[in-house]
Amino acid sequence: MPLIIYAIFDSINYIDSLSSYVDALSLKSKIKLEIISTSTLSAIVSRTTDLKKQACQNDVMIYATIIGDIAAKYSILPMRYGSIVSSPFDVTELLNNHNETFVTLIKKITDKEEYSLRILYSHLDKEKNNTEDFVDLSQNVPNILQGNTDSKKYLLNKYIKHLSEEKRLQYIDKIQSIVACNLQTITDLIVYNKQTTTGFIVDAVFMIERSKKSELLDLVMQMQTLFSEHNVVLSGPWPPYNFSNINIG
Amino acid sequence: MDSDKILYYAGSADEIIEELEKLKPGIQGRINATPDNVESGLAKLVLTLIELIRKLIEKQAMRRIDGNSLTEAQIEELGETLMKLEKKMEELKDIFKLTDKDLNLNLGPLGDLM
Repeated sequence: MPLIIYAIFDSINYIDSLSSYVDALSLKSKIKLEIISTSTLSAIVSRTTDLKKQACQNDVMIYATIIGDIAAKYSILPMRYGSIVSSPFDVTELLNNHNETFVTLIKKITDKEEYSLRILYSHLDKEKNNTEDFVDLSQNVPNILQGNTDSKKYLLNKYIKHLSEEKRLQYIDKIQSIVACNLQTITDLIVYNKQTTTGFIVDAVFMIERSKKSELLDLVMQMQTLFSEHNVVLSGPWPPYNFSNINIG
Repeated sequence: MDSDKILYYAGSADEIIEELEKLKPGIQGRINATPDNVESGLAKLVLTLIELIRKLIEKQAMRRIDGNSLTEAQIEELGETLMKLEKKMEELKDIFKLTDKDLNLNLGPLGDLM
């Protein structure tokens, strides 16, 4: 029978306490969770009838909740939804074949939690920037673009947008380096995500030791004072998805 | 995002939600080509690639303006070319009923193409 893999953990240190926790979680989630182990690693799995089951939102939510519950207490490597293998043998093979990689990843994330820090432009910023940009940037246009032809007017408009984008990227670099300096005082495990929308200034995920949560909160509040005109969001703790990219496809 | 996962926020909650909503994976980023709609699926893919190239050309043009390496005549020619290219793209988008939002591809962990 195919198996869904939820997470991988270090069996040497956690097998006893995690076994009883997984049993309790089975009752709570109404999904029969099992543990399959090798000498060093274990995987939390459940049986499924369908190897290529169509994903539905509810299943994804249950999957994420189970991983979230375990990660809140234990250092685990969370798997992505859809991590399905054909048999228990495939699970042990996966653990054995990638033993070194998994052990290294687990060491990296042990006793740490993932958090996300996002700094976003406010609507007020956007309006202010648009007006200021046009006035400021119009003064930096090369003489060759001055003129009344359609071509020049078109290029002038494009050029101002180009200057505005350059200015935005420079600003993002500046804010990102300030955030990096601050976060580096509590962790060196930081990943900056590409700005997926122009509303984002910083989109960072990082791992910190569980004991440093209040230190992090203080730090974020200090940062908010620095960037009082922007919207700041700190979320977490999350399972360490961004620091344990495991793809068994 | 679960609200209990928000540890701290400052600023407008509505604005934050609005921006975070944009991150939800949608179906716009996918090329949805099936035997029934292969033409529009293909059109979307081709136009996305053309748009990417058009934007790269535009960026290169801005760099050349920055570098002061263009003559009056070249500026006129460049402006006209870019203007026509943009106009042509608008026409093609109209024909295939595509919007700017459609002309993008989600490249998974690499983010969006544009």
